[in-house]
Amino acid sequence: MDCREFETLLPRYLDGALREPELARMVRHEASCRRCHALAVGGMRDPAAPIAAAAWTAETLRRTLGADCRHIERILAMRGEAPPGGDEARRIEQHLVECRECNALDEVLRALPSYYEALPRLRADRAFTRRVLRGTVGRELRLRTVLRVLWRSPTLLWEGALTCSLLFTPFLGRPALEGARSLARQVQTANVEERLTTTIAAADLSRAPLALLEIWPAARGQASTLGSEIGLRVAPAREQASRLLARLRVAAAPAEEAATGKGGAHELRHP
Amino acid sequence: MDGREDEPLVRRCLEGDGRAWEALVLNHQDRILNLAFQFTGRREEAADLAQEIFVRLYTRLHQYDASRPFRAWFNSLARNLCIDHYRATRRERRAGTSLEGMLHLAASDPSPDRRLEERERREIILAALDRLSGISREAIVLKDLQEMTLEEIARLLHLPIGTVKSRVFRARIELGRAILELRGATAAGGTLGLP
Repeated sequence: MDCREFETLLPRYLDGALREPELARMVRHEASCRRCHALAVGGMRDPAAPIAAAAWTAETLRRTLGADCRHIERILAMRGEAPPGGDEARRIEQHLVECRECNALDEVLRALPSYYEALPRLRADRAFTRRVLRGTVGRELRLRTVLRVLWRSPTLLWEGALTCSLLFTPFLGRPALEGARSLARQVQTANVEERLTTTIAAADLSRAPLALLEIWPAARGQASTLGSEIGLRVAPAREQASRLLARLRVAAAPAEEAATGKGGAHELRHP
Repeated sequence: MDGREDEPLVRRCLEGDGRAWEALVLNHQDRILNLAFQFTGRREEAADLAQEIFVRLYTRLHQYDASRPFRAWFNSLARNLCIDHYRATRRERRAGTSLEGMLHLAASDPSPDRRLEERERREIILAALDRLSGISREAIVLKDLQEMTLEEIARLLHLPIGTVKSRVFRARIELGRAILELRGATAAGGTLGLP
């Protein structure tokens, strides 16, 4: 036992309220410590007037617990999470009787939930909702969202690429078609060369110019057919691009509505 | 509302359903606005912060792990953002005026027939919260207003639980003393010490 513990238990020691083994420890400590012995003797000599006893107890508590008010405050502040029990609860009650400041603080701490209750509860209005939607759906449905959607969906990416290429068809479409036709002609020419080679291989050189004249109109016809096929393939792609553009326009429409404050359905394009 | 009903909405949001996103915003906007207000103490600033939280949610929704409750995940995201915002603006807030926020609130009170005592309480608690240090306000908001457990706060702030406990009890004492002081000021006919 040390002096602090002795001082804590002293009031009960003097009242005869201590039992074994604390009593034996108190006796042993008093016998070994002159200061605590003096304290105990002083306590016994002190008249048992209630006020004096209370003051003495308060003083003892302050001294035994060091910064006693701080210790009590800590317990009071965490009472909800760790309620004090037994002796500690009694000591706190006693302290609160004697310490006006701690008592007032205790009252406020007990009333904190009612203060929290008094805090205002804000309600988000429609304007706030619109603002949030504009800041999320409305904002990102523009170029960034479209790009993200295209990036995340291979089908849409293909459609997007097609759309982009076909957007330039008025400028590039005709030269591309001409290029394809030229290629077709070259292919057909290759066929001609093959047939000429066959004729020459048959050593019938006199027929070679005639063979060339026979083949040439057919080669032109095939090249023309190929060109038409390319044209036919471009047309569905152009339609597909139109459909994609329409879809993108639909997706962009809610953003425009939100921007003008009309609200309504949104097609979310999530990142 | 246990938050489980949000998960189908989140799925629909991720599929691109704008109405589901709007429903999600409507489900949570009051709660998020109040959370932001508890940190900022100012209505306009709270609205800005709440909007920022929803934008963050929107951009991070695809990171949501469906095996976890959505509400808990969103709460964590929102609180982190509030804490970041609060810490970033703490200095200017202390230098600024808090009266503006109180006047806004008084004007926005939906029940004007509230008792005088309750109004006083509200003004006192707002002024007292405004007087708290940053760490203390954070502790009060998370523990007492958001009703998080000490363990949850420790996880959120990456602090040992003992430190959180110590911050909470110090914050309550600080708040209690501020209330006592403000009550004394109002009893003496003062102005709650507001600038």
